[in-house]
Amino acid sequence: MSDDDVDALVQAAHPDLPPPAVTRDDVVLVSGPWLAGTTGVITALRERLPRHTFVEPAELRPGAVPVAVVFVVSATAPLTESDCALLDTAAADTDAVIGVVTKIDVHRTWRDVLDADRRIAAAHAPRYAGMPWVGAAAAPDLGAPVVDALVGVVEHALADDALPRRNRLRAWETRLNNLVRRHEREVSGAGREARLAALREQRSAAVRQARLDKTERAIGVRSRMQQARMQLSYFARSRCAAVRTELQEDAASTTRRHLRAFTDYVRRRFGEVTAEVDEAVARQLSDVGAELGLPIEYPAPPAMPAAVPAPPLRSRRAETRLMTLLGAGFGLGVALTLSRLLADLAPQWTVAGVIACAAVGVVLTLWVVGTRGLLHDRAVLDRWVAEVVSGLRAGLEERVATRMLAAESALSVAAAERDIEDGARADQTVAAVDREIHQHATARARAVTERDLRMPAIARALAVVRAELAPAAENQSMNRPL
Amino acid sequence: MAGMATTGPVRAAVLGRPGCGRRTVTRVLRAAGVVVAGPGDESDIDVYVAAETLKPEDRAVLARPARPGVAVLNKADLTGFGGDGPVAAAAAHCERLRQTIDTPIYPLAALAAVAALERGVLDDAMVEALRVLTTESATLANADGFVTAEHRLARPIRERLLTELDLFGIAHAVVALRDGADRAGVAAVLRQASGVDAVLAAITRAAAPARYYRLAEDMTAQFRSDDAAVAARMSAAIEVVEAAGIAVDRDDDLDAHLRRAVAWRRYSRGPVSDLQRRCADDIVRGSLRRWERFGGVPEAVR
Repeated sequence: MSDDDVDALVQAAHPDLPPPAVTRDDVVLVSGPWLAGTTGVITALRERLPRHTFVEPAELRPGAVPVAVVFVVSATAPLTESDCALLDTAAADTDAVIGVVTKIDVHRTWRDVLDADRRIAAAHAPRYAGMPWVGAAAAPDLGAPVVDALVGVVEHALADDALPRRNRLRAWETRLNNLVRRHEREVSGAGREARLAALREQRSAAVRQARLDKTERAIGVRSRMQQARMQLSYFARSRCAAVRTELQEDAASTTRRHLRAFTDYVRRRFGEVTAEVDEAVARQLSDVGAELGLPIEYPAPPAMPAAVPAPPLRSRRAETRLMTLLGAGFGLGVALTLSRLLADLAPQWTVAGVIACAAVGVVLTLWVVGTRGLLHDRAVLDRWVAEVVSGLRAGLEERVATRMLAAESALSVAAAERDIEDGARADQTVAAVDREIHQHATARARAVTERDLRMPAIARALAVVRAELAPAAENQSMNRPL
Repeated sequence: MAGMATTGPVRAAVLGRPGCGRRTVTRVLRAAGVVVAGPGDESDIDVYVAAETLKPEDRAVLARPARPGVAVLNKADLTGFGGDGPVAAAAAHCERLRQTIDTPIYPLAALAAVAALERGVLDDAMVEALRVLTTESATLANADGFVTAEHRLARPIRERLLTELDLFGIAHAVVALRDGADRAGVAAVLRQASGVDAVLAAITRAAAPARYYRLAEDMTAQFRSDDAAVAARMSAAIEVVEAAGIAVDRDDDLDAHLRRAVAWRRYSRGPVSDLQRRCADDIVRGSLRRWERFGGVPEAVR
């Protein structure tokens, strides 16, 4: 009739199982939900049954289980799921469970609640179908406590000779049920499915992200470079237009003496404009690189464009002769007209007048010839400026286009390298995820094997325990020698 | 708000675990004029009925309320006679529970409240039986004893007293009759003892947003913006913000109206919910109308 007999019975069905690791204390556990009246019941029971020890859940030693459980609920409302869960915990390793509905002094409907409780408990687990339920008023506000029925039921339960054996069987049943549940849990793996779903999601996200990054980077390089090329060409063109206007104004006011210096000035300005455009290109390219996250070394700018040709100011002999002739004719005409006028007005100064008029004629001739030459040179300079500036513009545009082309190919190379790095990283992630998925699959297969291996023995042991505990078999098993 | 009816009176749904008194609370609410939604009907607020204390099941429901609501700790008359009486003990327990849940919770002795509010419960036979008890006291120590003990009153009427008033109601009614109260007096005593007024006030507060939405939508549908409509929206809006625990200055003079308009204008610009902003706007509009009535002259702001 001892625990050893029960252990031997179960281990006959499943030899490898160690017995339940519980110590049975000779105490009665009084447990129940909050405000159910546990304290009143325990006080009343201690007073009425001093031979036995009654404890609340907190007073139970760790690892110890009681010989009987008094489950206290209030008559206010029927049992709930949470109450049933509490009952399961309290009575896991103990067969003798007594339900008490308290506060029956004030709840006129306590009998209905008691019936409902009996029904709910039986529906929750078959083992509670035969559980005794009694009403009690352990600590009424008015009148005497009503605990006689409760005391009677507790005494009867504790006096049952079969109690230790049934309690041991119940402990075995709980242990075997836990084993079954553990195996099932390991196979189905409640957390495993969620983890697998998360892993698959992570895997596809990694692949998707790598592909997306690659496309985005390629599009980014192309569109940003096109944009930069457009902006820089526009900048070069507008700088050239500004320089042409400026130089043409200068050419219109230049003097004969500054003609040489003007050419040098034009060359210097061209150098400055080219440097400005180069600087803008460098800035724009470094911006693009930073924006795309591809900081690269751009190729150095090519050498300065070819030197500016000198303005075509020579070889105008025929024109000079013609101008000299026309200027001389004009000077002669002016001298003759003046000398005639003077001879009429002052005949006594004729000789001096003739000399002076000849001098005036010579001076006029020289001035006309000189001015005409200057105007001609200015016109030539103006044309020349327009010509060389358009040459500069073409040169700068070509320079921009060449540098952008070089930069684009450098950026594309950098982007391709980055794609390869990212791809390698994504591959690593995917490989790690695949490895974990595989591990889960292996663990599951192992759990299935384990369960299939162990289950029959556990089921046999459980069947033995249940047969022993079954109410129908109760009387026979009581008397049967083990 | 999801699942909320948009027309008709504000409807309350009565929820709770079985056996906590949902049916009795429904009777109380109907008797007090609250429209209770039938099963499957849409409702605007929830009245959650618990008894004795909140079990994990109750907390799970109250932690994720689908609608604004009120929790009722029913059977407050059975909390124990110690101290200031059972309803006071239940109120103290509610105070403790309030620290752990968001929904306001109030004690209620639903049977006493039904007797006080529903016509036909305190009929002649009942009052007569209670008068007998004033002179020939019966055992009120426990429910079974009251019915089974020897007494001049016939057992059926004692059973009826117990079913419809319970020991708490009988005790309060007998004391009231001894003090010379009539039937209306007994009803008033029961009403006061049951705690039903606090529950009804809480329901009114919880229903304020639903009432406000109804009113606002009705008026938008009818394109009404006359003084009466603006004043009605303002008072519905004041109910909503007061239900949220914000005091509204109710003075009725020139300065007060302008002050209120300015204060609520500032409030509506703050980080508040959509409902609160709409209510604040309505309070501003209503206050400015009243201010103009009192002679306030609006000026253009440069």
